[in-house]
Amino acid sequence: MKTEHRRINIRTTNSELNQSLAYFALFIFVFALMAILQPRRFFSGTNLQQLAFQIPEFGILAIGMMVAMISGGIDLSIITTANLAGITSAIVMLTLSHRGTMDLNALLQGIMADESTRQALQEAMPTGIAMIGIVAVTVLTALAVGMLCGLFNGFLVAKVRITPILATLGTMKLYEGIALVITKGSPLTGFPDEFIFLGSGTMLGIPTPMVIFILAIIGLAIMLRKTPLGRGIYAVGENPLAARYSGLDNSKILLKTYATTGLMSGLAALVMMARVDSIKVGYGNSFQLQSILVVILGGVSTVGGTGNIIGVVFSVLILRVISSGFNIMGFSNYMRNVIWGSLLIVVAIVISSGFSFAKSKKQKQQKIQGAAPQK
Amino acid sequence: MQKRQITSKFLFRHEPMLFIVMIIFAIIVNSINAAFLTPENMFDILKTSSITGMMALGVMIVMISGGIDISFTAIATVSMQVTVRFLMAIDKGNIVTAFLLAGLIGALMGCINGFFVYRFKLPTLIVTLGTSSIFHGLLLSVLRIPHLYSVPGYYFDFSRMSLFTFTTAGGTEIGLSSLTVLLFVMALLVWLILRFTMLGRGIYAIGGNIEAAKRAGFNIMLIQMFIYSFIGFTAGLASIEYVAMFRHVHPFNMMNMMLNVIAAVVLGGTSFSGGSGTVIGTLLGVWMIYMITNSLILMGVPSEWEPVVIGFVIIFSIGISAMQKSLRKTEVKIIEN
Amino acid sequence: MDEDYCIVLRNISKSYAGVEALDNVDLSIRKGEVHCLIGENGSGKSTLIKIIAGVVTPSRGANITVNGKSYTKLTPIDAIHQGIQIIYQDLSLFPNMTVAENIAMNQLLESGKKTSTHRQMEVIAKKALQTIGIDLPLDALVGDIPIAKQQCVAISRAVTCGESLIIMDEPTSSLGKKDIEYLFTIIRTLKSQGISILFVGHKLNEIFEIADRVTILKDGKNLGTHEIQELTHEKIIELMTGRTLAVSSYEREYSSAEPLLEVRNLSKAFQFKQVSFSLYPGEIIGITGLVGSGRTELVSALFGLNPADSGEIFIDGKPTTIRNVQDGLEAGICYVPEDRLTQGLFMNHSIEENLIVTLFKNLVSRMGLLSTDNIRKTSVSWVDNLAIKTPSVYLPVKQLSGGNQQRVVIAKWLARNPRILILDGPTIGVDVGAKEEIHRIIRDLAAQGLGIIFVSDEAPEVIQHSHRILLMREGAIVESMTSQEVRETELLEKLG
Repeated sequence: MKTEHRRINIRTTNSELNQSLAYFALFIFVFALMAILQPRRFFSGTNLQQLAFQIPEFGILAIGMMVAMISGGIDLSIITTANLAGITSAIVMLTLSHRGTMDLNALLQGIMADESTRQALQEAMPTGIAMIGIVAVTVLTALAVGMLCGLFNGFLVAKVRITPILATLGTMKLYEGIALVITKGSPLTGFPDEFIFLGSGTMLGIPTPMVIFILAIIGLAIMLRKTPLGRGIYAVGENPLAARYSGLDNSKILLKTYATTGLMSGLAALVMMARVDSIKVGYGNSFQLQSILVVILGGVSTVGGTGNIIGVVFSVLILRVISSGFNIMGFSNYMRNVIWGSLLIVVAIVISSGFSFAKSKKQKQQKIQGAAPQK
Repeated sequence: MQKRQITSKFLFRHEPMLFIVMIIFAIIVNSINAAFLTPENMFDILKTSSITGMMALGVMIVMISGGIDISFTAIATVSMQVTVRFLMAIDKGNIVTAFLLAGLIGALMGCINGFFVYRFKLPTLIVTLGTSSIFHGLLLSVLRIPHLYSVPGYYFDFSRMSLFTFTTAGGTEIGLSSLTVLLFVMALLVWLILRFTMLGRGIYAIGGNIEAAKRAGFNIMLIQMFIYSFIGFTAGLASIEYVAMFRHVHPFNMMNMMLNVIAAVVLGGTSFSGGSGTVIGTLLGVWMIYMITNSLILMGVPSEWEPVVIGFVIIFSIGISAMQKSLRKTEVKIIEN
Repeated sequence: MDEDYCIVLRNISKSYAGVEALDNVDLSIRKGEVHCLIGENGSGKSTLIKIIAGVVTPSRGANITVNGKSYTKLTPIDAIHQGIQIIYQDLSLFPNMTVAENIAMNQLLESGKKTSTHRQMEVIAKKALQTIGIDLPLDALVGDIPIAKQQCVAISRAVTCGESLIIMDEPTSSLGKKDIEYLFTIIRTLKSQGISILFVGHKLNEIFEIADRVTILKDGKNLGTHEIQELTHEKIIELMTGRTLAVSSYEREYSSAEPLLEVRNLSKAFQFKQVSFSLYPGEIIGITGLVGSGRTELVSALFGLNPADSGEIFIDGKPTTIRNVQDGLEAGICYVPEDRLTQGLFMNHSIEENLIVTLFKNLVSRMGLLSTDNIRKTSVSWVDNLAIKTPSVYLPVKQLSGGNQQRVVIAKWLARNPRILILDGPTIGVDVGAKEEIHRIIRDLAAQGLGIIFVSDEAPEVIQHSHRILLMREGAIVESMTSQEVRETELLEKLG
């Protein structure tokens, strides 16, 4: 019996295409809504610019979280990992930039806050190739620290067999603690212009962070769909036992999963630091809940095994547009948290009731069987 | 085989191991700073740990049932603010009404969690992550002045009450603080529920095998609503204990306690996957956490190190648990053959 | 007339979303009888017993008379009050609670009491254990005791409230011979106390040993209830499948030159010892033995899932170490696991994704990326090869029937071109018709020169479909015989 598969020539399956279209539609809807409600302020240059620059730092964190959740776990430490990565790389950068002109302790005590001191020091920084080299080292440090933190998470989950929620709850505190010990809470600032470019410059008219974000998306998309590691992550998330029986090395896959998430955290830290020219413990805390929201909204199952990066990216856009709307309408931070929290619950309810109209009879019957409470 | 079974049974029981570790730890710390094992210090630990202990009892119940609740500190913060302000506004009330009101408010907020968990079968992490933001966010949006530094005297008076006072050789007067007594009373209540009521068995049953619990005829809705309103209740009580101890109402301080409470519960042997946990273990876990933080202070370690140490402690203790679990499985296999 | 019966069901029908699970089924169970319910997957067995237990509501027009009282449907409380208890296949016990607590739980819940003491639970538990005549450590955690003992806990629990009828759903699936005997003794004890047993099973030799009467369900209809004396093996199969199966044993030749696989003195502590045998290309070996004899442990050792402690393995005469699954795969060995749902398939993933999960390294083009074209070609060809009935390779595997799911699992391994294929219980939970087809696939593979080992519980299957039979008991191969040499009754005896 020859089946008619040859008719399908496009790269994604029919249902994936449908899903992506649905997200795109939702995005257009939200965008349009904002445009109608506050056309002048929404479409103002500053607002759109802000959006374009802010989307990437959250987006990179979110796609990192997505990878962990597809594997059936979760990473509650992405923010503190990003902070730690940012802080260590900032120290490296500042030490290298101000070598000979000042010492670390003064730095940590916020000497940069003083305008005149800052001016003087910044003029004394190296430029040209030397600075580019310093920036490169900084970038590598952030990525390396992020990956190390991620590897430790992966180690706890894969080798010590601690559930991801607890493991990353613990490391969340641990990484925050380490960052606190290093900085005692003070901010680090006074970054060189060449570095700031990563967060505030443009390349061919597109903001640099957006370029970085797009590259990250492409990278992860390829990794997830077209590499054995990516397919392995989906398998482990869907059924770790069957994965093992199929010859996959679950430990290695999980280690790499969390390392990837950590890597994304490090990348996000760079973008964040470069945009606001400073880094401090506690930056980005509000992103914690939003990142989980965005991944679930984006179609990743709460127990893992399924999910599409396109859905998550659109969800990032949707959320950022809504957030920008909040800015315009003057919502306080706290009010926004209320809304994000409510959205999280609403989205979870909608998704768990499963879009019933889309499911077949058999699927509905299987649902009748019921299941134990998930964490 | 007899002897081996007995010793291994002992090693596998979490509480005795924890107790031994605590004793060893105390001895070591005391050798570094003899101020540690003094009655003053010990009673002080008992007192300051009561707030965490109260919340830990609630978290333990949730974990036994196989869930997790990270909104309890938000519930505590809201209860605290609403209760204290309300009683001040109507200019009535005493410590008892404060406790009752806060407990009630907490329980009601907990019911909301219970509703979402039961009705929609949502993952408990997601529900409580959401409600935590909602509760705390709503509170802070509504309050114009989030801190309250002047509260009626009866709060502090309560914390100064104590049972069994006596004077030490050094001349200081110490006693079993009312806060600790309250904790003991609640611990006893919880123990009674878990050991002697069908409700308690139901909590363990849900944590052990929820399908079986449904089939056996347990009223899952009732039990889950109880679980989540109970943790809300204890959070409410704990929040008033906070006001009693610190004499102010704060919008953020209690939020930061969340991880320590969870650490204490896990340290105390409650399994994260559900089905097991004891009151004694949880109390020991709470005291252990406070012993650690207290010892850090006494040994002159800067306070920034505390979260690092606590983080390590969580990871370490769960790691040991995980190892014990897999050891147990192999032991069972051997017996089977 | 109804007084002789503990329960009489009339006109029981039930549909789920347009699919008819039961169609006008009548069933009556006498007091104090052991009544067996048999039927293939999808015959409606589990729906029927759930209706009796009150967990499922039948369609309108149903009539259920229990102990003389008439109902149109039962609620769980009704059932419990009437003394009906159900022991699910997974036992539904609480692993984190003690034996005493588990046994006493149902009775305590039924009595509606809000409090209970350990003492009370002990009393209830002791009484139940006494009724059945067994002894269990009351303070042990149920999760820590072996499956056979867990089953006793489940039965004791049912006995506390089951004065009329106890339903047992596939109670022997995880039990060894001794434990099955033990179970049957308990069942006879219960019977002598006037309690009826509804025994859902599929192993005909067990049915013949314990049943008084047998009801056969097929496609939601009751094909008839018979006294056990009226039936024979063949008659039952005929009734169930509607045809007589020609019992032919396997005649194909295989080359006996070089052994493909040779195993010498393979041992693993507490699992199997000193196992030695050879497998030739084109040969089919059937390994059988009771549960607990070490069959699955042995074959998973060959694959690397459960590596042996000592002994030697030779592939094509060359010594090979197999310490993990990757080693097994390198050696050309593939393993189709026992439980396809939890061990073999990714239920929410598509057929294609399931098929290629073992092939990543092979489908990678330069730059280390998977080629979508290659993937599609591979999945389509395997779907065609094994005639997997599906409109598209993108269908999630959970929407396939049992037989087709099993084919996906087999295909996934065949795609690796193994030289040796191990199948553990390949026809469990598969309909009789589909069973034959799977064995046909296996025979074709053998004809192509693969060496096949399959593990099975069922004597007739092993005799019909293998060249040689290895009988295991307590971790050792106790006998090796060709399928021509042995007859079913002999084999059954040897198993005992």
